[in-house]
Amino acid sequence: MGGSASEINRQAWRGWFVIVLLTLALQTGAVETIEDRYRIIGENQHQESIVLGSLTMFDSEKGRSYRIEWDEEQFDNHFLSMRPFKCLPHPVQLICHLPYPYQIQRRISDQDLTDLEYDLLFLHKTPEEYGINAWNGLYFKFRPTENGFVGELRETDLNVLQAPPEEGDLRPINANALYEPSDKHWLRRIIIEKVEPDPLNSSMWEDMRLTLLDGAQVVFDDRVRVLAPDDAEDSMNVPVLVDASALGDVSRILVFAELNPIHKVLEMEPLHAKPLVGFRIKVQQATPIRAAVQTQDGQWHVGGRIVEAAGGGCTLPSLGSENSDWASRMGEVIGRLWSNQDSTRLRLRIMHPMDTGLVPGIPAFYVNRLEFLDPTGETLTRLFLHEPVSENPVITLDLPKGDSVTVVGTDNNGNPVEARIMAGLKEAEI
Amino acid sequence: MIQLRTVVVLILALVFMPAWGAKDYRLKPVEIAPGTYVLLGEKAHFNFRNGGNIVNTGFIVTDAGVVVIDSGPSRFYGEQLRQAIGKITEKPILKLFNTHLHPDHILGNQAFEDIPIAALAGTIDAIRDQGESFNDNMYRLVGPWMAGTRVVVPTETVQPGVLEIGGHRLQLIEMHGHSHADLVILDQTTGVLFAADVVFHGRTPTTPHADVARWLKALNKLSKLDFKILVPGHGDVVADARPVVQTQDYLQWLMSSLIVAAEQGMTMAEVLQLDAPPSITQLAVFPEEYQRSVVHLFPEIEAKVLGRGRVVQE
Repeated sequence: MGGSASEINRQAWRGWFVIVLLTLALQTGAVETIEDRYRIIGENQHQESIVLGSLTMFDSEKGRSYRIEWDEEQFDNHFLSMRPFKCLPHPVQLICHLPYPYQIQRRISDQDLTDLEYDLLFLHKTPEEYGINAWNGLYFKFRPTENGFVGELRETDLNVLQAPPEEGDLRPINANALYEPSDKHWLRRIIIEKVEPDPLNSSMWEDMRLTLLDGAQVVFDDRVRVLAPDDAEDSMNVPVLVDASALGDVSRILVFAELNPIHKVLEMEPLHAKPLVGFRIKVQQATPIRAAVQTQDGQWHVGGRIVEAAGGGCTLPSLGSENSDWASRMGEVIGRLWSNQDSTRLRLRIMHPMDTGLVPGIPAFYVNRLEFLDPTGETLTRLFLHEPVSENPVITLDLPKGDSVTVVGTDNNGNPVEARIMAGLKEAEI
Repeated sequence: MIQLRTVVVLILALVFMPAWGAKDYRLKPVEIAPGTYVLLGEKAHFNFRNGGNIVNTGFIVTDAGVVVIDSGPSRFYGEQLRQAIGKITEKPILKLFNTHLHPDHILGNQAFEDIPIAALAGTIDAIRDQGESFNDNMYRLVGPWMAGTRVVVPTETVQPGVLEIGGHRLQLIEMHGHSHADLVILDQTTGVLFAADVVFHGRTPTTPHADVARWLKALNKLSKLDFKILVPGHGDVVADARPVVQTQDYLQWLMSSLIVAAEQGMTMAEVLQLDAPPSITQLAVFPEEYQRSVVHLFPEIEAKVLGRGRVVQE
């Protein structure tokens, strides 16, 4: 600490400078780098896959580089031959990751993926075998694919790694000593595939993809239109319209609210109807409302938006259940048909409490299945509703042209819903 | 490095200071007629910056004392309103009126607990039932501005009619439509009409408890009153009936749009996307209020429209 005024001044200025920098860093969210996220997937002989971890690709001074994060839950910890190993469990063969122990640059290009291969070395052993042997090496030979990389299984002797390579030798494994693998190894392939960044940046998205879509690859697609308000004025009645007409032939629509205690909202098999459905839902808090739409080729297309909300929609009792005469009107249907250019719009309301089961003392009680039939009895479209659909569901569908539609359905207690809706207005009202 | 640490602490103090202590609404009473003052709120939504001050409150200094109309959105507002009155007159405060149940008009009541707080019977019941949930929601919307605010239910039931206080003849009129009980006060002595939220000016009307058909009737009735100066519940004070017409135009546009949309078979999420003419979209906070109004009003309109369809059920 110098005592002179100029010294103090300089120190103070340095302090200011640091603060300005800190403020800037906070505002810009640190240094910007372009990062791509990938999933690391292991695949067995039967093309069954597990997610082993994630890989982040980024540009470094030296070129394309990456870092790997393993999903610890998939591995068991073992202590073998005086060293800790992380092994993929299996009844007849453990496959243990061998972290590359020497200098590695982690620099890759489409022509040279060796560093990546060195980071994905494994050793195999039977569960009974004592210790682990370096000659039981598994090497995945990688090549670029459309949306990432794929590594095919090879066998090799990794004894070469028992001693450090010569100074500056970054490739000690003999690339000519990779052999066709025996059929007994269950891990056949490692797939590294690019993860589409979630446009809504939701912390729950990956969970939803794994649990509701069985881990399928998706594309985020503007052709899946999800209309809803920015803010849920009434958390028990948030209007939603999902319209995937722009996608053409759709086999399935799945709607979910990621931050609701019950995620699934509604499923639709469009069949002869347009892939469009309007309804209202309960939300427990601000949440992404998402529609995953599967086209005939099996591909999932995902659209969605975030709805802000004060909350409480799922854990508030339905108005009906607080009212003693709801039972007498349960299942009552009002509805109407509108003839549009190439379709007939059906709008209907079914009286039903649609209780979520999350209110103490009120069990889950909701319409769970609706089928829409034409006058010949052919199914036009099918809906499967879940607890978050609002009380007295109001449903909108665009069906093939016609002047009569029958709706047949049930609730989760087996009570039937049945009504026929016809074109035109009630006589008395005309 | 002592200097650096000091600077950091100072900066942090400056950054976080607004979160500490009482919030200041910077209330400025404007004299709009002899002894009659209005405190104008922002034409905006509740937010953490305005602390809920989106409302017009007012007071009349009579020979006998001060009559206050609405107490604002929070305890701080109520207290600061009282201080602002104290800077203008030393006369005692005689009475506070709550024009209707909405939180921005009643949550400053705490600062007036020592005097009679008067409201229509329907308003008193509604504040008793819903006041606490309004209070909770206001904390979510404006945060620290609500510190220490609790609901104070009015203590005196207003009988519609003429009330003479300190040389002012106040005509107390019960209306319905914006809420189920709206108190409108016409000071016959000065010609000032405190229209409460029956009239909005330059800001989109709100409809959480609205019966629009009754509201339009109320506006019709209100336009026939003999007033010189109009104080809307939200928006600027004027010396004519323009805000009445503006409120009527908006409500008529809103209802006819929703009815037409329902008759065309539109679903509620589609109705949210409707276009509006410039005369409507120019109103402050239109997009947000319109979306809220669709949620408030469309289900009932839709149920009537669907109810006219032909349905056969066993």
